[in-house]
Amino acid sequence: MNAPQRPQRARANRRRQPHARRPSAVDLWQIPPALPPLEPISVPREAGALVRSLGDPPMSNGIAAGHYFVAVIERTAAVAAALALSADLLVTAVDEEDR
Amino acid sequence: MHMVNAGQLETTIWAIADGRVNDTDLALLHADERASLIVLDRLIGDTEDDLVAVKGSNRDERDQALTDLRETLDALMATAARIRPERYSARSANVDADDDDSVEPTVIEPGEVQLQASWSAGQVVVWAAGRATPGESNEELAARLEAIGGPPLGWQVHPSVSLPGEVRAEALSISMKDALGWLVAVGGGHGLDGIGPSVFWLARVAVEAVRLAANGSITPSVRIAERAEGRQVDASVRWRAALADNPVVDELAAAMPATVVVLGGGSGPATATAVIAAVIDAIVTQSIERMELPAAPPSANTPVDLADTVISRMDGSPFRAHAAMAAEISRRFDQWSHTVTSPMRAKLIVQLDAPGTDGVWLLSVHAHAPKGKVVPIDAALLNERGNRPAAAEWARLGRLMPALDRAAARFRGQVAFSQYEAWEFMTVTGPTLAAVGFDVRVPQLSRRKATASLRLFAETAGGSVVGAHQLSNVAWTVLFDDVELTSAEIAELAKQARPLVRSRGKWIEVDRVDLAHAAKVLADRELTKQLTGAEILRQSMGLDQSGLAGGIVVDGVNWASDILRHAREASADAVTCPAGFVGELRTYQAEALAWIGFLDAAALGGCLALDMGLGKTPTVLAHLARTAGDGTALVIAPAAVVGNWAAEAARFAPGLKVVVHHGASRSSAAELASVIRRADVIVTTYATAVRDVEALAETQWSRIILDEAQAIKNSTNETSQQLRRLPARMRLALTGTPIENGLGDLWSILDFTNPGLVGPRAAFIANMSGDGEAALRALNGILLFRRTKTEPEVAAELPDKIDQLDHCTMTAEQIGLYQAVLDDLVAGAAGVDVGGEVKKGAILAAITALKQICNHPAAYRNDGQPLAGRSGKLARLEEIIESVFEADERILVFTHFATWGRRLAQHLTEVTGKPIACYDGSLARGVRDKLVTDFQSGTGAGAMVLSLKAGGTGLNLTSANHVVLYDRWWNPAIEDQARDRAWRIGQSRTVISHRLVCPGTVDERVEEVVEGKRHIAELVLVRSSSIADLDTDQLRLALGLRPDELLTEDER
Repeated sequence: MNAPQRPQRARANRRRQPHARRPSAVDLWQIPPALPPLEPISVPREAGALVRSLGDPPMSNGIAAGHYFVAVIERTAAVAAALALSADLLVTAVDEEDR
Repeated sequence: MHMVNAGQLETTIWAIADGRVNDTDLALLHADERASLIVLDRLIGDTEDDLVAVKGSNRDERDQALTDLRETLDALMATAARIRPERYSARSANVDADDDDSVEPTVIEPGEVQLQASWSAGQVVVWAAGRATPGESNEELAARLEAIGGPPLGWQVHPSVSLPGEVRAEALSISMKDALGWLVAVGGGHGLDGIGPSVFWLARVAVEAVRLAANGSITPSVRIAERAEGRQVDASVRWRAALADNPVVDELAAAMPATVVVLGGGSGPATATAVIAAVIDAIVTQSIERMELPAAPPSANTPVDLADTVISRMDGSPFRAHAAMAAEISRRFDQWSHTVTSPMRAKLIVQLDAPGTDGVWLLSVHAHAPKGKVVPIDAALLNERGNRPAAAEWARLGRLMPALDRAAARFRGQVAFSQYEAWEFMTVTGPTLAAVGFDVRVPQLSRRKATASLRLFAETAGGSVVGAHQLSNVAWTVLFDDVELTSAEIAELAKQARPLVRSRGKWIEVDRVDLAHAAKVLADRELTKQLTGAEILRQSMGLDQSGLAGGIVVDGVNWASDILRHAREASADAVTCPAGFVGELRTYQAEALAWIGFLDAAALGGCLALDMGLGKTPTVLAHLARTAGDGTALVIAPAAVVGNWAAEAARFAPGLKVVVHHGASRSSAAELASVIRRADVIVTTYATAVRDVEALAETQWSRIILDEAQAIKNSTNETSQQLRRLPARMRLALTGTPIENGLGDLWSILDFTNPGLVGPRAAFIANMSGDGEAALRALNGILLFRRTKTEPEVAAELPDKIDQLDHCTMTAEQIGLYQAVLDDLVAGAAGVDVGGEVKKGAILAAITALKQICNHPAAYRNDGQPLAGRSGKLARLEEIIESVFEADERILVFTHFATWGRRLAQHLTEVTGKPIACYDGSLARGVRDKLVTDFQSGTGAGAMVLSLKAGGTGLNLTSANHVVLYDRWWNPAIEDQARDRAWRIGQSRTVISHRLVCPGTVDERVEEVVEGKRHIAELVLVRSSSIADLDTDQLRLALGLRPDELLTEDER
């Protein structure tokens, strides 16, 4: 595989790790771009579907492990939904209508 | 699908940015736009960082480097804009603006201190400062956090934050676990006072992480610590986000404020990823804390033990394991979840197509191909020759959708679905697939239940729409929303396990019970093949219940549809200044006039049901004025308002030739035809109309108008029966209370105005059963025009107060007594030689007596007999109170005879069944105050009688909005004061004031004085002489009954 080629006029070394931006008067206090609109959070019918779609976990006794993973994911989804509810972010029945 | 790695993409992007562009490079850029944008964002961020660094240097080559970097940045932006022009074109412009020192950037104003949050070493670090403003101390910071509902616990003092301009701000740090609840609340828009952009950004990223957790988009992994001891290694289970490669996270990353990384850190994407990981870790840890996990084996040196250890350590606690086995299981986990954690996923398209004529739903799976193409999954898999991403996603899809296995080998990815499976896919499986990262495309559906209504299609043979009795051929179907179904189609649909119909472009499930009900309703009607226009109209108005929730829809070319269309369009013809009418109608009156015009044109009758005081009379006069010359109209009204009709006609429609036909001097039967021919309007009373019905029935009236039409609410009484004999092209009934006692009243009125049209009384009441207002709504605008004072648009046009003059009859008892008192006075004046002052006193006493008699015989002569049926004024008062109580409103009744007032209050209490008090000067102050307080605090129907002297001033009785001046006083200012008990500050409704007057009596002459038409002296001084000088003829002229004007009992 070839190394990425850079434009010849760019002399600075670009193959480096990202680094912290230095704070400057303009940078730090500049008002950032608007954030994307906030959508309410909906709870799926089956929170464990994603891990189920991956098949059995690649380990001994994978079937049992899969059940444990799904249990953790469902519990996590419930806690997350509670958090969303506390912030009025959980999708309501009305929101669901005709979605 | 041709997949490329990040290195290949970077090479390609540099080639494009450098102008060395070819079709292959462009195809690669567009093959996976998302991955391209990730690489582009990284390169743009790096270049921006370099720009900032070079700007601060003093090296000789600074200017050249700046030029190079700006050109590079522009080239990268232009490359990115090829993929998403709306985003990167704007950013490019911003970069230009930033580089131009002459342009003032949009920055936080100096002196504005905001709470900021930075992400540092897995902690949230908060501080408060502003541009060119010193940072706050930790005490101030703590107070600020408390004020906005920040986390109460978990804070640590953090080294202060260094800001530009040698400014430092003290800081506090908190773990994500402790900060999470607060951040999510802020992300949801709560507690935003003094919040800076960095706090809000972290909060929004936290919300996206919560969204992923709530969606179940997390997977476990095994992380190996770098430190190892021999063959052993420290490891732990970590949960990480899956499907985090979404546009919202990308946009958040691109919009990261610089203050988030003021303490150091990565780019927007890197920081967003780190914050999401911390949130996921916090939620999972909290979730597992209370889970009972199996105990870990003593060691993890065999595959089985290691597997058991992973399960028992799902909470993230570290464990020691065999190094090679741990590395292997870590690699396997990464590989296992790679398809959902990689930023360059092959997102498959799962599409359900609605059935065509074959009725088969088709599900198909597709994959993205180079150059933005989409190919069937089968072709994609063949082309890839085992390409991992698409194959992995295909395998993943198969685990969630076993139905895909049904496809024949040569149609891999294509499955026919039944209606049941289709609905299951649209409502259950599809959303699940979308939630786990597939691009699911289904026909639009609505979760709303379809409402069934009956459709009647009626066509008159030959297209003629001539009248109510014309027969039309009819066909019946049922509409589920806008989907029309015949009985055969309903039967077919009912066989489906999951009946679906497509309405307004969306699929809707039909309730099976509704289907069965619709089938029965259709079966009941399908034998009916023809209906008359009247029957169709009745169906249209809901008078023959459809039996379905959505009622009935009538279509086709027929008389009823024509009528309904004209009724709908009538309001477009509303005019406030119609021809021949002097004055301006209010909007609702103009609409009522348009509706009457529609009725007239259709030769239909109707009921104008404007609330009392809304001006029914002028509205009808406007119609009569504009149709003058088109035959003679007959107005039949209670005697009390006949005079009012004549007066209002003279005022609003002076061009109309109006003849009042009542009283002893009215035209004879022989003369009547000639009178009618010369008149535009004949006004008569109910009693006269019944008495002269034979003569009146000789005329074909253009219009018959019944005022106060509740007079015919009993369809079997003499008046109702006789008036039905009068022939008219159009009949209009006026009433403010179309439903006094029940729907039977309304039926009687409507059956008079349109004989036979609304069907039998019993059916009408049964079909309109329950809420009478519902019946009024169903008919409103067609056979009835209803407006009430409580409607805001009506109330907005009403004046503050409406004064109304009600003419009242005299009973035979009243007339006899009146005449006797007058005779006594005249005899006394003629036969006895009395002094001037004595005679004057006698005359004034007689006037008082005559006024009392006009009120009620018992008011003059307290005979202890029941009051009912002995006074026209009392009868009128009872009618007014009935209407007021019907509207659940309150009324004040003023009289200047206190004794009569008490008697009246007692009588009204008996008649209405509601306690009605009398406020007069004989009561103690405390009692009077309590009466006022009780009345004023009361709600709903209520009344109080007041003596004009005691109650006419000073009181606040705004809970009433009706006032009756039962008898008249010489000075109008006194009456105004009485009315103003209700019409004053605090009154929010229109006050309607009724003045009761008996025409042809002294009562009316007092009225003339009050009206300013004559001076009080003229009442008794025929010439400029003293009252004592009146002779007997003059006395009779001044105080006597005037038969031509008198309304007698049988005239009501």
